[in-house]
Amino acid sequence: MKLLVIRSAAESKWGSCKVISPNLHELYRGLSASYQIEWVDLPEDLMKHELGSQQSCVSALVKKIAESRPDRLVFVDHLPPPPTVLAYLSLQMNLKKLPPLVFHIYGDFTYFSREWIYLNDVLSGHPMTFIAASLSQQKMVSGFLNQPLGISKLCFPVNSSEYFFNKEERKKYRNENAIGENDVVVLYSGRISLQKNVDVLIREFLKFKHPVKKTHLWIVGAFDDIGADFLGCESYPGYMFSKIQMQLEDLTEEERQRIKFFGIKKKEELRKIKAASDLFASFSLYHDEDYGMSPAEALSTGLKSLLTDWGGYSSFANMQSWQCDLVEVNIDEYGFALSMNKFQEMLLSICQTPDPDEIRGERAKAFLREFSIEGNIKNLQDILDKKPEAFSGFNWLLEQYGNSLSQNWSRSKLNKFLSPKSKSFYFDVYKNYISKLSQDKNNE
Amino acid sequence: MNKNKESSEIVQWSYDFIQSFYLNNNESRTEREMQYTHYISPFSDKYYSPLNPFLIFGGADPEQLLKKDTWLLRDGLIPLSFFFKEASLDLLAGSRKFLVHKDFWFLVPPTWQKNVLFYDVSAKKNYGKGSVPEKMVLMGIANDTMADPEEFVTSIKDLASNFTAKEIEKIQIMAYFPNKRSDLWGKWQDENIFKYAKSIFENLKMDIHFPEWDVLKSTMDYQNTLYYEVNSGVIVKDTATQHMFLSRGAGLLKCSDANEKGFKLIKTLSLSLYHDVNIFEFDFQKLKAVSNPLESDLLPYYKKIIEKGTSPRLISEGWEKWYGSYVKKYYKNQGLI
Repeated sequence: MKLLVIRSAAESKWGSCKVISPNLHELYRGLSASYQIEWVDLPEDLMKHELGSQQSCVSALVKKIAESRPDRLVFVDHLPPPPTVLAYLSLQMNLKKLPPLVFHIYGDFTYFSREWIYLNDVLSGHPMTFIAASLSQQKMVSGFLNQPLGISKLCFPVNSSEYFFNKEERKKYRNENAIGENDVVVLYSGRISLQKNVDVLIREFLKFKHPVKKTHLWIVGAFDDIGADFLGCESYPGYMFSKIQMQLEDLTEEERQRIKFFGIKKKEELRKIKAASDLFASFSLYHDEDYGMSPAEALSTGLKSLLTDWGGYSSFANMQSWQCDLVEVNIDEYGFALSMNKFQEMLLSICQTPDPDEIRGERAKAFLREFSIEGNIKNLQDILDKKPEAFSGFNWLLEQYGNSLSQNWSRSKLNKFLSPKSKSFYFDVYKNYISKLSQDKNNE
Repeated sequence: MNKNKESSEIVQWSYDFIQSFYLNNNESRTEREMQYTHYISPFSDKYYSPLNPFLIFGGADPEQLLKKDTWLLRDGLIPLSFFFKEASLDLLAGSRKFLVHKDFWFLVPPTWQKNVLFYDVSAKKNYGKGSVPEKMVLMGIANDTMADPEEFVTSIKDLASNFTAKEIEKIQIMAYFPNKRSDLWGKWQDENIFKYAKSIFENLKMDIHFPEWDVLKSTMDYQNTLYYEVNSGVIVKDTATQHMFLSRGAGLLKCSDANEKGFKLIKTLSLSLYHDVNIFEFDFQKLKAVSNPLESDLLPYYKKIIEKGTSPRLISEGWEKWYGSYVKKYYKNQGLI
């Protein structure tokens, strides 16, 4: 099978995609010899390039498609946005003459709602495959289609040469950071952003008291100010830091000493931090949490994890082969409600029964068997070999989403339409992100 | 769902919307005022801190200033001069505190002194002799109406003097000097970006990258990076760009503690993992302004220009006349520039 794979010419500016993209490229390079791959690099900002350069890369792509005659045209990266590339292609060729299309779907899918809607007119009936990184994202995208067909699931794989468990690294890193042998470290790594609810984690962490064990909370990552722009709540630079800082001001010196912010760390140190920790916790309710690269990397080091039952996080739940449990999420009339009992229970159990290194190593291996690059080559081949479904078109829900998002230009008003609460448009879309709710729906 | 209230967390982000709502409220600003913040973007972009940072020149609505008890005025020399000359003390002062950049202590009239504290911004990591960064981001205001070409060259020379030629060769330098304001301030020839660029090449090196703002803005990690801003603070002193780079790990150039006479540090507030704002009291008995820039009878003229707009050429000429002949001399006499 001949694959023409379109990728971004530059590294993504989005933290998780800096890891996801190279890992996906590696996955494609790992396909068996029966797949011939040709790569096409396109600039992230395609429109700017086409306007500002004498050499059109869209024309070059049209030529390349005609010459190579691929069996599949694959969009592997999130930028340039696939619908934008197709819109440009449609100016130079009949899109119906394209080979079957394959799209890896990212969290930013809904940002480009209007661009995707454009495809309804030009690609209806064309063979297409969407690949979502998690079951929740698969359900959400299915909800946007007239007929929920042609959506496969393939995780964003972890590079097992970058994330694994090393007991020597654990011991050394804990010593370097003055962590006692019996101390327990809770870790959050990722963006420190409004919807990631790091403030909730700090509150819950401080509620936990143990008569003997000393607990620490490590927070790794950059503060950002993305806010909750889909509902019109766009925070300003500096806001998240100030919010957390105010929370810390009320603590005793002893409590403050147990909470450490590391800032941004490179992969190698991040692996050591994960190895040195005892529990990974994230209570994110990020509206584009289609996967969760940071928890995936934590689980690759055998770290016990507690995540919200939200978006891609739910895909990691497994209490046998590895240890990942979910915090129940509900959307009620007041907003989100998180049931936090499990955090206290899990932390208590870690304090009482620490993990032997051997067990942790086994857990890491078990997770990587399912979520590593090498563990997913066959899954990708199966998806590519499957006969693609005819595109049925996007439905009113995506159009409504796009229209609502475009109304957020004014920062002075909250968008009621996209506010998290029950019996709302938000609920209709994001109920797919809560595994319990979507299971209930399937059972009805 | 567990119904035990003790173990349940309700997450609502509308509170966060309300917290920074005052920064959203532009409705009272005139088109001209809003243009000003736009033309000097990204330096004038908004940022959040508990001290309520605010640009008066972006729309000094007295009613808006009544909403908070503390304001950190990000403005530079000219807007601050207007503010202290014209703002109503009776209406605004009371127990309200205004934080002014400490470079402008001499602008505060005696009647306002009890309501004013001073601030500066510091980085946890500083670079200079003996401490060379891997990267450097060079930014600044470079046009003849908002910056003095001579000062620009001096500032670049000052920067270069902290490092040897060999060290500069090793530093990866990225420069960004937004220069799209000529539609407001004059013709492009007046801006003369080339002479500014020339001084950078002459005093630092030829191998300098000029990335687009989007590229600089989307990079989250600026550790091992020196942020250097060429900005004498005529319009805006406390820039959003400085906060952005410092909050992502960049450091500042080490500076001497000259001109600290009269200041007493009363509080340091962290604005990120990597930088702080320091708040000072000033003893006006120890150091008194030798003259009062607020007495300039050209102030109303300049206010008129800023508020109403006029022929761009006039702005340049007039600006030089006033800034060059009066405040600049004052600054130099004080050893502040």
